[in-house]
Amino acid sequence: MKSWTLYLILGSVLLLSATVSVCIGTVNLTPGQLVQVLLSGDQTPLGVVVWQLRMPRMVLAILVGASLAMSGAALQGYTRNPLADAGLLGISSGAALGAVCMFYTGFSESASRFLASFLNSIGCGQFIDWFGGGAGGENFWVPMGGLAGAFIALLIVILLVGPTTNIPTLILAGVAVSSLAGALTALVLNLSPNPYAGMQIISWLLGSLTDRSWQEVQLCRPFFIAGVVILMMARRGLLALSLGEEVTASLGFSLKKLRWLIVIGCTLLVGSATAVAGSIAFVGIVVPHLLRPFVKSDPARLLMPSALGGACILLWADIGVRLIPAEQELKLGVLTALVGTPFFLALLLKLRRSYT
Amino acid sequence: MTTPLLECSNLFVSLKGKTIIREVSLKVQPGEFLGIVGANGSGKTTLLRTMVGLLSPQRGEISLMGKPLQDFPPEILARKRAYLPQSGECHWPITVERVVELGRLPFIEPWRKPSGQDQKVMDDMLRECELEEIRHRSVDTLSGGEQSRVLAARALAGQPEILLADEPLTGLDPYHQLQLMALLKKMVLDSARAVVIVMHDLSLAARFCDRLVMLHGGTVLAIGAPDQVLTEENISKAYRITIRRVEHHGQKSVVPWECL
Repeated sequence: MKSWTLYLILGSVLLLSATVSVCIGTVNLTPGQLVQVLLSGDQTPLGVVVWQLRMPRMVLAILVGASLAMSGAALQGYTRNPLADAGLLGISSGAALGAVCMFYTGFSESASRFLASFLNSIGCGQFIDWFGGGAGGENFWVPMGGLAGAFIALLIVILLVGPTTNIPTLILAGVAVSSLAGALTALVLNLSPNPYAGMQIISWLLGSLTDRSWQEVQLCRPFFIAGVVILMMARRGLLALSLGEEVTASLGFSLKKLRWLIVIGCTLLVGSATAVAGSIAFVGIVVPHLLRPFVKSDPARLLMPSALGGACILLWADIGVRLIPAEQELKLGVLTALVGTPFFLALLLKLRRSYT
Repeated sequence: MTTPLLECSNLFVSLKGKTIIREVSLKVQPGEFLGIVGANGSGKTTLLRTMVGLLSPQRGEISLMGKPLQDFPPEILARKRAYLPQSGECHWPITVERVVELGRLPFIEPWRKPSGQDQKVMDDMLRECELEEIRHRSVDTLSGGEQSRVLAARALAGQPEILLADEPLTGLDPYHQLQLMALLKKMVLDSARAVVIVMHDLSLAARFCDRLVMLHGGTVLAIGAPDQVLTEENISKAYRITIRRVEHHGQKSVVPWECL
């Protein structure tokens, strides 16, 4: 399929998905009503719902879905393994641990209080809201904890890998960090002071875009832009890696530079996505798989379509969460995992057929 | 006297603490077709990878066009020499023309598409390697021989000053072995380019190479014209085999005969 045709199709689906995402909710809107509400701003109650709740949720679904799928495509290209995803580097586990620690320690509340009094004392009280200093302190500090966790995980991976450019070493370091972060998250859960804190942690870990605001979008945006640019800088190297590391080096690429472009790009994307939305599985593996045939398996051409496809998939998963009737709110991460499993079974059956 | 295209002076190369290459010195002149022969484990691939710049010698120096190899920025070096590794692999089922395009990558500016010139070189290479008909097929649907030709076309598409190829004939039938050797020879004859090729087929080496380097235990056992290198004494020492000599219209060749 021609690149522009694929972009046109994915772009149209994304536009449609985003529109549906904003229209669906407790009060359903027709596209005509949506245009009216959008034009009238957030002066009416419906305007507040659309502008302050549904729009940030829709934008965040696009950012998170695109981040996870693009990182998955980049890591699959880099490791030349179609089953690789960001979990392999320990980034998402690190981000989850960082965010969970914020819940556990109650750091977000005390930090918000401290910051609010500090800003007031220096006469900069108007900036309190920027840092979630008010009632929504968690909206700022939990994602910040997640980002810190992602970067600490990255730092440990860098230290473990050392100067080698060997890819299995990187994967092994990532898996070790991922296991450690998983174990520490379980420990935090185990030691959680009360059942409510435990439930809050579990609920966050399951992944969700409910009650997110523009604050999370603002937090995510710079990391998203930087991550996308960095991964796009690595696309030629990913194509060259199709012929192995030695040919890539002989074609003038620095394997070290390529590795850090991939690792840092993925950390920015997955770290910020996990920090604002919790753990969302399978998008990073499934989306590149689905789109690979349309780009003739080219790892360089797979990056941007994966970002668009990931955004579409997460928008629909988030729409599904809202549409599926359930007593308790169905979590986004649970839905993506449930939908992702049949995909793996289909892949398994296809593989079995090709070997018999 | 012309400056050698590539020169190795007194090379020592170690891998995992073991010295693989000792005291190897050789020169590759422009327009030369140089073969490296020797038994398994004699250090041919290690020497070639060092000449490419993938391994650093413990001692000694390699220079390309009179300039130390390490002084070239990687992207400039990639335009001047191409490497065709022994175990040709393509990890993704990408199309034949995309693989060949990889050979032009050092010439294509980042964020740009291949220029008209790049496209012309790729088209020429696909035609010369008889890959035009399969240019849109993915590499995983090709036979082993076809894949080898695609990878060779990729290395040639960069129009390098010097091509360093490690056993490129592996997996090719006699027709395509001769075709590839003729193509490489043409590349050398048409311009001041050079080819360094590691090979096991002594008869093809005798026929196509201008000079041969025979390695034994990581050192140069013999270097010179094929006639001077492929002697019974050298071959029995390097390979532990006997040979039969064949001559046809003045063209000399050797046939491996018995194990010693």
